[in-house]
Amino acid sequence: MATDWKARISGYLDGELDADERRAFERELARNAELRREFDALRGLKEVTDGMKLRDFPDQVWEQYWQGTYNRLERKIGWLLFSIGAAVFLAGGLYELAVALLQESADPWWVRFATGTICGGVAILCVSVVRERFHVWKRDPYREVKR
Amino acid sequence: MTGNGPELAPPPLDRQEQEWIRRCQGGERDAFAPLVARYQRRAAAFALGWTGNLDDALDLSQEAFARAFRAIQRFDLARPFYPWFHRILRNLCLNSLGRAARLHEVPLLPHCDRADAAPGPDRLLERHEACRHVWEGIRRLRARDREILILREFQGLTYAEIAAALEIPCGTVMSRLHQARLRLRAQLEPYMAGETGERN
Repeated sequence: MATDWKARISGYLDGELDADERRAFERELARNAELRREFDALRGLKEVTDGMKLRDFPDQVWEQYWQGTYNRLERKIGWLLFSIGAAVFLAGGLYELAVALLQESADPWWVRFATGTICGGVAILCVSVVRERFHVWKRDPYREVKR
Repeated sequence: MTGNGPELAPPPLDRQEQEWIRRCQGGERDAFAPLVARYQRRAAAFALGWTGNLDDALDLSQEAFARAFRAIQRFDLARPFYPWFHRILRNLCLNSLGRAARLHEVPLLPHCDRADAAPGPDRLLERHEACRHVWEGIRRLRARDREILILREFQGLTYAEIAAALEIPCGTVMSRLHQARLRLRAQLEPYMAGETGERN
């Protein structure tokens, strides 16, 4: 099977070839001009990236990391229970409202219709505002700062 | 390493890790703490390489741990933890791209070695500029290339560690990394050409 020398460029640059493979690669590099061109290009890139590192996280991040993860575990369960309860209330309330509007009210149909749409609109707006406020709060980088 | 071989040696199982996970599967949340402590830096660094933002990186890595815990019952104790966790983290990172409003931040910094511990302001500015170019190039790569470059170039994982995390053979790591570097090199062509020109 023919050796894919080009794929070995990275292995060579990263020091991941064993001694025999390195020697074989160097022999091939000396006689193969195309391989040499690609090797030089990637060596240049590696020199650039070797001079960089990812930003460090502040040390206190690690002290609070587990607590943050634990809070997520706990709050998720809290949110789940809250959501189930709220969904039951909402569904029951909407059902009762619909029954009241459609069957028990003596008001004309257009009054019932308008009341229903206003209630529906207010409910959607409330949910939307709460969701937006929560989203903004979650992304606020200064939320820990006391004003 | 054997360059093109299909080898995929399973990484050794860590008995201590298995014990922590077994306890987690039994419902002990505190047993998850040492597991998180072991991998938190690696996870956060990967997420930082992905999002470019410290807050987002912490957010994503912590969420990945929380999801891992919630799915821990499905975890197969015969397999190592990190590759399984890495998949959760990677999926979260992929899904987070839609909210990448802060991608203009550059998470890369010049890494000063001892030979050049205190570069002058011009040299430092140049290096920051290089960081910005490289980050821009990485951002434009497809997810697969980006992932392997972050793991190798900025987290310093060996091929064996990358192979374990991605569950691919070492030979595939080498060829995938090679392709990713070629594509990054192509993205950086104008910058690299300028650099070479200035040096000459």
